[in-house]
Amino acid sequence: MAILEFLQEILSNASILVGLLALVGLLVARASFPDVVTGTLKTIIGFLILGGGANILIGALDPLGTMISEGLGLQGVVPTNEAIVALAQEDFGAETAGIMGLAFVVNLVLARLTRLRYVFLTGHHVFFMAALTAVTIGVTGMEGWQLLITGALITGSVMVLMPAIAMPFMRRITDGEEIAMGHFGTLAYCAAGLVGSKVGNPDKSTEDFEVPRSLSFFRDSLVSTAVAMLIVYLIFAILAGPTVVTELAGGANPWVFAIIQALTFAAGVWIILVGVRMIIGEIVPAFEGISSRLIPNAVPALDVPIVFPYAPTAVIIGFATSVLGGLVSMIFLGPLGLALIIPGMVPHFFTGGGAGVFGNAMGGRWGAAAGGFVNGVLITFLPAFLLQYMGELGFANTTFGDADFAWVGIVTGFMAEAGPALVWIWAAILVAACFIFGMVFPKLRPDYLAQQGQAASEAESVAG
Amino acid sequence: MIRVFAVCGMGLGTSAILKTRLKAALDASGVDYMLDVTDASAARGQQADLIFTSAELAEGLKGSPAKIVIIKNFMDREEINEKVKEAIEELQ
Repeated sequence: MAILEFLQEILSNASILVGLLALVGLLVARASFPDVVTGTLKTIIGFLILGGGANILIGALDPLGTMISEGLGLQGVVPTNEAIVALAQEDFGAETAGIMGLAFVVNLVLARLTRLRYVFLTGHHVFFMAALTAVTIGVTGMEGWQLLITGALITGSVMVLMPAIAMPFMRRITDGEEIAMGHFGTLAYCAAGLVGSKVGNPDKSTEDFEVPRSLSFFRDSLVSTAVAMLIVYLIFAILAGPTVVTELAGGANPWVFAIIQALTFAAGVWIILVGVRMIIGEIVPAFEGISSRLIPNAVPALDVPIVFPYAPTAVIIGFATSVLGGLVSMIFLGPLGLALIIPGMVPHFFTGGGAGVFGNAMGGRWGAAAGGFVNGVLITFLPAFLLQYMGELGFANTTFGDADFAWVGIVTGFMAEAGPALVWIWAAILVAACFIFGMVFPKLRPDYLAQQGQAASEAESVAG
Repeated sequence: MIRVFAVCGMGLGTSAILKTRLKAALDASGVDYMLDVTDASAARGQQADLIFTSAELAEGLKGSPAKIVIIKNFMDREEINEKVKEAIEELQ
């Protein structure tokens, strides 16, 4: 019995479970002995670093929450994926690790069986999506293998579906089909592409004029987070008034306190990133090793900055209009009775930039601007709706920042509230969609152009 | 032993992919190395011999004593193999 208890203790410890996941991946990928030891240890330590960063971040978020509620009489939320996922690990750590490992397997199986041969390699987004499904299903009381399997089916099929849906746009952007979009802001990117195609002219590209280089420091996520948080903390410190802030600071100077808390927030996010980076840096190579052996012709779906070099100016324009969209939407949240979503700079930069590139490919300058704006509106309203499906975590002053986390979370949460049967149906719908989309829509396949070319040359040889 | 970094904006998605490609190239070259992924601001504060990154981020790493190698296409194994070979020859 003691051994069983020991085993159970080990397996319910999230850091060890993630470490086991890395261990299995590295062994299957036939990594060398030193690589297996380093990879497994670093993954476990990465997870412990993640927890430490989360504690620092909570310390900085608490006073901000009070300042916002005192200043505006509202619940204010800064969507930061890293933060909410780190917080979710306290209650759903083991579930998240289990779903993540199984979701990779589901992705590989679907890529093998359907015509949508995409392998999603943005490991941190798989981690976040796994945490999201664990939370939205888990808060309704569903647990154990049911939670693991449904969570993995939902996460794994979204890992195939989203790159597929973005593929027609990616063909326009990269002028080829070697890489797919593997980032969970894809709903907003496609919306940006569609709106862009309506409002602008793709021939008038953003890349024909120059944007000052002085804005490019926002690419450094630590700097952009720090600058944005300084602005946010100082604004709400002013709104809440010195009396409230001095009380929070335990009698210290309120402005110094606000500045230090803002920078502590940035520090916490960075520490969490160090942890996530350690985990992902070990798991992704193992996973790529496995997938390249099992599914040779699969197309890798990669993180959003992969499209930035195709239109760097569109990235800056998309970022700017995305923040603008977020600020404009913020005005409507209060009157609609929704929580106040404060623009988080990291999601706005990366997804706004991606939306700018998609908008530019379909509608040039105006397309990029409109695309960024649409992204900003979506990642403000969707996270606000998502909050009600996150149980106690919904009161943590932070939430998921990107469009796909929001829509998947909202639908999954809605289904989960109605009962476990509906979660199973929802998971089955997503899996079925991978098969059906692959059969019905040739443009969503990764080899559409190649097949077109083949068909054309075959027709030619017949005619000749 | 040479210390090598794969650097991207967040040090998450792109650099993890770059890491697998770099590892294959470094193994082939036969040098003794340590390879890690990181973001631009962390790379600036750390001791390294070689940093592989994109053109935009290379700008911000200029002050570093390490040798900065710009990778144009993170998916192109040939480009990466060639640049690793060149960089290591230069270091030695």
